[in-house]
Amino acid sequence: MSTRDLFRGAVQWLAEHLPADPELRPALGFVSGDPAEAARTLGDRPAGPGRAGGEPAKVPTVAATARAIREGRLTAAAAVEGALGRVAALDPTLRAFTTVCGDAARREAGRLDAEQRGGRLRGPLHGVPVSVKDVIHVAGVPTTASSRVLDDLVPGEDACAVARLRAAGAVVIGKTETHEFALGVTTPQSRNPWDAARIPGGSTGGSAIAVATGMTPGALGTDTRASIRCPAALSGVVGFKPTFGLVPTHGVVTLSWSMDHVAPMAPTVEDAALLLDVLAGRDPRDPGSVDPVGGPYAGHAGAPVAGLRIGVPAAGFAGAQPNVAEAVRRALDGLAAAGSVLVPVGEPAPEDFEMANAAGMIVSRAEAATYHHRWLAERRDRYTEETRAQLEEAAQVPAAVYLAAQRLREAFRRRMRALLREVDALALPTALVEAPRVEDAERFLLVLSRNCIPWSFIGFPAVSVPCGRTAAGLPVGLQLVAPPFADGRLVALGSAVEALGLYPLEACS
Amino acid sequence: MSDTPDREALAAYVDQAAALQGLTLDPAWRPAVIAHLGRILGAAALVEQFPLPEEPAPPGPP
Amino acid sequence: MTGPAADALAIAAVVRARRVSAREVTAAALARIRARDGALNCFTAVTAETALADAERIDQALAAGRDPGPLAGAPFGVKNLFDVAGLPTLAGSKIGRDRPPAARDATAVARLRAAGAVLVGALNMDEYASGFTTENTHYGPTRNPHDRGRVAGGSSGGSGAAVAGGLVPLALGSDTNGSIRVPAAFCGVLGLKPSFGRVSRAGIALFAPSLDHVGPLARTVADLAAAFDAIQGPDPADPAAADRPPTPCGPTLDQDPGGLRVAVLGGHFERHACAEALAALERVAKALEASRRVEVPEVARARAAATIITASEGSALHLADLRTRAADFDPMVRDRFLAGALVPASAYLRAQRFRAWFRARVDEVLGEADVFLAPTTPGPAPPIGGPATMVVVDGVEVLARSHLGVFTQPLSFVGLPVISVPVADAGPLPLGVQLIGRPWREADLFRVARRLEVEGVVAAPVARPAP
Repeated sequence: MSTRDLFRGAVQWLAEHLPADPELRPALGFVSGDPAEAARTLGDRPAGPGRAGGEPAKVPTVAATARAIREGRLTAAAAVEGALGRVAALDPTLRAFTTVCGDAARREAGRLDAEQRGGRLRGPLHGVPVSVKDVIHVAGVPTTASSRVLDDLVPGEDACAVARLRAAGAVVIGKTETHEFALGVTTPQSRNPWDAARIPGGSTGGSAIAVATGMTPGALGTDTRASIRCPAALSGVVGFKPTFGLVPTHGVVTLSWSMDHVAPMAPTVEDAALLLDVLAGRDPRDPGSVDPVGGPYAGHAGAPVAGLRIGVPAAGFAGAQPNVAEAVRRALDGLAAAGSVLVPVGEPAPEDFEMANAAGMIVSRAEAATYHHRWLAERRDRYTEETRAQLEEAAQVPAAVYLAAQRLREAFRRRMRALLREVDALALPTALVEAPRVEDAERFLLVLSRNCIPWSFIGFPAVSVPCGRTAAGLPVGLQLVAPPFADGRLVALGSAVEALGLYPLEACS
Repeated sequence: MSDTPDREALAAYVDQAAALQGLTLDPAWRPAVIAHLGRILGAAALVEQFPLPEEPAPPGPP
Repeated sequence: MTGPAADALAIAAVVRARRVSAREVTAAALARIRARDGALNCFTAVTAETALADAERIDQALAAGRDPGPLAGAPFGVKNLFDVAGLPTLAGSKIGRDRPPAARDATAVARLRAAGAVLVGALNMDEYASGFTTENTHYGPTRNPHDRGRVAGGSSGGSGAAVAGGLVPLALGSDTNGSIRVPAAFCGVLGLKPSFGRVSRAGIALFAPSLDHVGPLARTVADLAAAFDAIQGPDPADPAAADRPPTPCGPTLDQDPGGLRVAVLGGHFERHACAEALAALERVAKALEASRRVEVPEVARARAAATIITASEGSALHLADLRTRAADFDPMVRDRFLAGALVPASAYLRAQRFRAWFRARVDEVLGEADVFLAPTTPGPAPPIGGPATMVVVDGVEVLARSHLGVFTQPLSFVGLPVISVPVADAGPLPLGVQLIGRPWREADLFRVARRLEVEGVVAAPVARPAP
């Protein structure tokens, strides 16, 4: 079943479930929640030591790399050289990168080292190599969105997120492969670092490979339905989709105005938090962007999780591969041993997953089709058949169906907001299966994204943390969800999962 | 007038989109409905012709 | 004070002074409605019993030394898309008759009653607010009190005619693309479409959620302000209501508006208006010493976008009924809604994106003055039952009926506050001029309207019935 079939199914489902209740008002413009409420509840929690426990990492982490450079044990040049070396060795097989910016990165590293010798550090990421999903603009480097449609787009300006990373001292090693225009969850042109016969997940597949293999400790991606969390789960890294609007989307090739999130990827939760601290905050060029709540996110790493109530929805496990479900439950038991309280919850119910997947698909694709309309008219033949068909069908979805999806969205958002007052977070598998084989990937599209879409649809923060491996040795991701603006709580819970030691960090090679 | 879709394509789209939402179009109503939709699509073409600057903001109310 | 010409605040003054009882005033209003509404067809329901009971309570409160509110005893009617406890909310439809009665008043209705006004009934409208003439196939056309062969305007036609005909001094209506302002202009009364989100929409049957506004109609500026002051303000029951504190407009009415800069909207707003409409505009402009003209770009496109959004959102709310009982709609409304249900989402989204751009352009122009002027309608009220003709506007063929909103639609599209003022002696038929303000600055508009009223440029006498 292709994404196009999924889309058709979504339209059909929604047409059969149009809300009859006239009192259901549509979400006008999209706002996920109230920051003041999150600020109040987060303020009640004890702060963390700022570092996760557990074994020292065997992959370069953002934290360790930054520290080593700060303390003079590593130069930016050496960090970049190391990154480029790993890229050269592994990229031909795995295909993580669309463009490697070797010369520019070396020059930048030279400048950073000179500044450090002169007594100046640009910021908390001074010298840290990062990779950037090829839908996010880096000045002077072509943005291809892994598509032949964009053969001439060389942005003159960094995306806001990239500019912030660079202002903090990070070095862009290159642009990474994405599912074409981010419209999919497999990134079929690339390969899973743990088994090159399998997909890495998508759409932020390239960045996931880069982080999992230690090519770069940090990476930037996007998440509209599942696109940071799915590849994070399948490739064994941390993918952190923040509260909607927290990271400005200026300078990103749009998929869906009301569902796109810019998101960090890294080996550890603390790393993701460090990146988020640099990325988060309003930008006047993105009117939907919002300011962070709850102090530096990295400050929540290692914070105690005793007493936090974690809702576990049974419907989130339906259809899960047995050893995926087991690994997730083992991690949850570990959190319970650390003092969290596991609370079985009946929501989201199976119908909620169905609705959110259908309505989320329609909203995102209808908005994508609108964004693409000029390219579809002028560069139609350059799209892959799959992407073009999806977009052309999405362009025909009646506004009434889109508006029905928006009304369902608002109702769902309110119910989940209420649920996340009774519990502090939700936990469920990120993807229901391990990484599929390349030739089988199309059969698994729904189960790869089903548990992720509800949260991106309503803009709630969600993180995928590796929590174990399947019998075939493939990573399993645990997804944790918090109410809007409670991203700090996810840092605390996510780092508590890491501290269980169920997924020792090691670079795959 | 701007590029409104041709009559046949429009009629075909109308039937398909109506069926999708479980709407039955009495043959007596069909011409008027198609005429109305044609006018709305004409308005849509007018809006589409205008080159809007790129913006990341979500569509919203006033 | 029991006659048709009594305005709401004058009534409240004598009722509170206990010179006339609220009961007397209400009984007189009910008698007038019985006598004259047959010819005008403003009311779809007259709530005589509850009105008299409300009046009784007001008189008792006064006798007990309690204050029943600033509008004590003033009769009012509401467009029948407002929930009124105990009545089914018709929204101008036959289908609405089958719905259970509303459990409680809409917020705006409740707030007027809390201010002491007495609700006497529900008023006729275009079915589901989809029209500018109030020619309703189920409940009949509402007739213009100035010329009963002509429309009252719409979709708040019953509201405009009831006030103009002296049946009630106050009414509530709703405005999506012009539905308060057009009937106000055709009927020669004042109508306020506030800033988007200023007045709660809780308890109204919505037409297009991103465009609907609630507002009052009246025959004096002071009455209009008193009604607005009673209903404006945040409401947790309405997610679209702005979280802004109310800005009372009554207290500042008589402040000299001389310091306010007034400009005339040119370009689109000067085309397609008949000579009389332009003359009415000119009269107001002169009185306010407004000689500057400012232009907003791409107004025709903005109208196109507003039409797409209205069609899409309007239909979406009626899909269930369109599937199961399409034949129960007014045929013209049905066909429009069916078409609206088929608009592609991409057309809707592009219209909303264009709207954001247009809004920014309007904001730029708004910096050039405080109050802006434009005609309300291209001409006076057309005859009832006129043919469904097409006209060519800016090279595009449009329905003559929707052309009635040519000057109102672009303004509600971006949520600007507007008062339509009736120009005194505009001709054999009333004509209105729009006083347009910056967001949240209704108070400026009221001061200007008051000045025009004091100078006799604006007047809304009760329509003298034709012999």
